[in-house]
Amino acid sequence: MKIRQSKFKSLFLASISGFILLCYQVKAQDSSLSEVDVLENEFNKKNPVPVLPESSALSDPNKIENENSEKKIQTGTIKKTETISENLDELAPFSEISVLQLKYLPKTSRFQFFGGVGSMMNDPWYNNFGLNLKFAYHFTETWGLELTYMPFSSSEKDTTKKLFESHGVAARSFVTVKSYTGADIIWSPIYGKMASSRDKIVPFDMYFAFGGGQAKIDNGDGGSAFHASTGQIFAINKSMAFRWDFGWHMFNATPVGRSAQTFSSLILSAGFSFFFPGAKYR
Amino acid sequence: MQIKLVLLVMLVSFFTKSYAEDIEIPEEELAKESVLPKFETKDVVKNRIIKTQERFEVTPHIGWNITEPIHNQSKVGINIGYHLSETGALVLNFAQFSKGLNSQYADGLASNVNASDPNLDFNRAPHPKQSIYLHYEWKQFYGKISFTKQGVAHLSWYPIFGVGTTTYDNKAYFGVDGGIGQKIYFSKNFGLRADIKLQYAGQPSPYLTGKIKATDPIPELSEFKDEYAFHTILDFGFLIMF
Repeated sequence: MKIRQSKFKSLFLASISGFILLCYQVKAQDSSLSEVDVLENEFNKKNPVPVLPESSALSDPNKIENENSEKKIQTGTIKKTETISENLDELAPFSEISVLQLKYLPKTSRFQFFGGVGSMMNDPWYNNFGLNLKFAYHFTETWGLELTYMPFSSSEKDTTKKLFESHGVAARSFVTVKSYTGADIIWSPIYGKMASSRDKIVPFDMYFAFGGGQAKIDNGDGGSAFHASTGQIFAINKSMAFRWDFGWHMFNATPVGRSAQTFSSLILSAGFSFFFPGAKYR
Repeated sequence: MQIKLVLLVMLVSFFTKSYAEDIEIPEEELAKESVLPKFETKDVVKNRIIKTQERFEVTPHIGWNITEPIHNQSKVGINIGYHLSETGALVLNFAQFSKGLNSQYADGLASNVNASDPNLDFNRAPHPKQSIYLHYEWKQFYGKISFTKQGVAHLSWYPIFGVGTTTYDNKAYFGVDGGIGQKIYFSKNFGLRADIKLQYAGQPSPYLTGKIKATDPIPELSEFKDEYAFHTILDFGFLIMF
């Protein structure tokens, strides 16, 4: 019986010792506030620091936009030593804002292949439908280079048939674009996100493209073209996106039997983009 | 015996701690991406900056009927709308068409050397004068953009559906349209909007055998036949909210 009590005491003492030792370790971690302070100080070096003006004030608190999903990072220095709570109504507007930091679908050093269908929106004489194939390389998130090939299929509209039936003017009197091949510089200065149906956020890029190429003309000669377009790329995942493109082609052509003219075509396209290689986050 | 046991427990505890600190995870297995938490209540727009509900919108705009082959394509107009909610608005679209013909094609038709019937004077055909359409904007998409990371603008995407009439020199014609638009807000009260719509509407056919040539007798407006045709309407405007 004594032996059992002795063992029990030993175990009890050992348990107490272990518990005290663990508590000491936990306490030691909690008490190392100086390390946390150091970490916070290091963190705050990179985090927003509001500028406290000497006299001017942002008196209207409604001017401070509060959106949870937005990261506003501002660099600056504290000019006054008063606590922030005493000077909330004296905060100056952010002077430097970096709005969105991490892109869901990065483009830097990635290729993009786009395949879509397009329609010429402003041809009053022909229905023009076709493919829009694009292959791009993005040097940065903002700049890229893109090659385009668009073959079209054309058919006469009713108004063209009626013009011939009523007045004998043949459709071949009007030029139409059979295909376009060109190159563009891609400028993507706009990045954003959009909520659809209030339950999903879709990140997207908006870009502008400028370039030129050669249009193959039906019912005429020529076809050297200037091209400008804009569009948006809605990320589906890190390698795939829905994209629409609205392009303006201005080309010189000489219709059969007539003098050279400048024609414009507006082409609306929609399709899917595929980005490769895989996304590498910064 | 007791002291030995206590020392043994302390020794084991120290080794346990040391073992825990020595765990090494291969770098390729470390998390490289941040993920967002999933919430049961998906309300992705917590604090909407651009509030449109129960507000009026006025948008002077310029526009074009970009598939009009004969008449002048350009127009000016104004949108006057009321936002019933954050997802729906009723907008009255009024447009005044520019006078004259589509010089790119009508001039060529007037001097077309390949036609058997050249010198067509389409000034004789009824011209479009005004149009008024009532549109419903289904504001399904709301978001924001950063422009070169210098600032934030908010935007809205919305399908458009509408009915209305277009008045020509002879009479008014019924039509329907549908399309898509986008608004970019620079502030809570100002912004830009762009709409593109496919319109299916009645119109007088500008083609009339024996009456359009410059040497033909001038036709009555009632002689032109009615028809329905598709057109593409493009509008750009500056919006004001109040």
